[in-house]
Amino acid sequence: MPAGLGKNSKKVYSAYHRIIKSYEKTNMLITFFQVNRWRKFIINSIAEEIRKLHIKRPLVLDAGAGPGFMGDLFNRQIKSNIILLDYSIEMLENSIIDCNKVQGLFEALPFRDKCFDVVLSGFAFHASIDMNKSASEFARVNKYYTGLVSIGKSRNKIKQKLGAFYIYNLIPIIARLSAGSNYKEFKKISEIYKNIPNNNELLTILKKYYNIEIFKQKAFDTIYQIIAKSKNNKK
Amino acid sequence: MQYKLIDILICPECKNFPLQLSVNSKSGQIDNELDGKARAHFFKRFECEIFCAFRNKSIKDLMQNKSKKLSCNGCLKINIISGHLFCSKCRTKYLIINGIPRMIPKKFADL
Ligand SMILES: [Zn+2]
Ligand SMILES: [Zn+2]
Repeated sequence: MPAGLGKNSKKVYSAYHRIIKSYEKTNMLITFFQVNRWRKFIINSIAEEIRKLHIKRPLVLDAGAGPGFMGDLFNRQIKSNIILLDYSIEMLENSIIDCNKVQGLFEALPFRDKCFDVVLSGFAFHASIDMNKSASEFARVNKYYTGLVSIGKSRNKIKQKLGAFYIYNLIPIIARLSAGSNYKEFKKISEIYKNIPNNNELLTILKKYYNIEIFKQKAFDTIYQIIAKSKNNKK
Repeated sequence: MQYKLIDILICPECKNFPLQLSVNSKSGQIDNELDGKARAHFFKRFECEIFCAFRNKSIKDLMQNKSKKLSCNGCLKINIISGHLFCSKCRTKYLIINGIPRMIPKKFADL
């Protein structure tokens, strides 16, 4: 099975393992231990639909996978062919699942049209360079369902202020204390929050390529959960 | 990475498919048992859908070749560690390092 680092992997792995652990610990802390619950809602809802379709070993893309949390959770529900895609080689080389991995970008996914039964993306879509292009690419490679859970922004001005207060003032403190060398990853969140569209604008973008099946917001709308069905129409 | 990944990869620059694979190093071996089992099943013979990089042939061609009954499941335990993928249309080369193909388009290369 894909091993990557070969014989040296154990030594290197333990060092990175700590980094990934502190990364996930920080995710837990800044979400008040909700991060896995938010991921699982997406995973379980999509797994239920895929079971109804009787697809054996679905092909699943975990886009912006990091170490592969979304793919791993899905694989626990339904044995799948998981493909991890991320820009960070470091994360891919130390993934928590043994599967095929690709370094790539959302805006130019290196995959054939409609090849993935499921596309998942956990806490990564907010970081895309061009959301419109990313959404069109996600929909292009997707046959059935796409599930997104990510950092969003309320369209309600009061909630937006509350979200901003938390993201600008509290997350940096928590991350400073717990993220270790991943601190930079979490510093990016403030910059991202400034630049992302509000959740309604995001839905407008997604609706060009998808039918939205589920849309939920959490924590002053700073988190959104979306399950969408690809329209997959030829442009 | 496994050979079957090539069956879904396209060139991120020009969307060409399939990409030409060159392998420098790999680990694991052809699994004859898996291969035999697959060959016995007409419908489960091919893990790949359109193009099999292990056989270096399209699935259509493989299906037509009745004299040599081939499957493409024997390669599943082979892990390609290094090599490259080449797009014959736009002539871009993508490296495979530590088992991970680097599929970043040129204009994003300095992110
Ligand atoms: Zn094959
Ligand atoms: Zn090309």
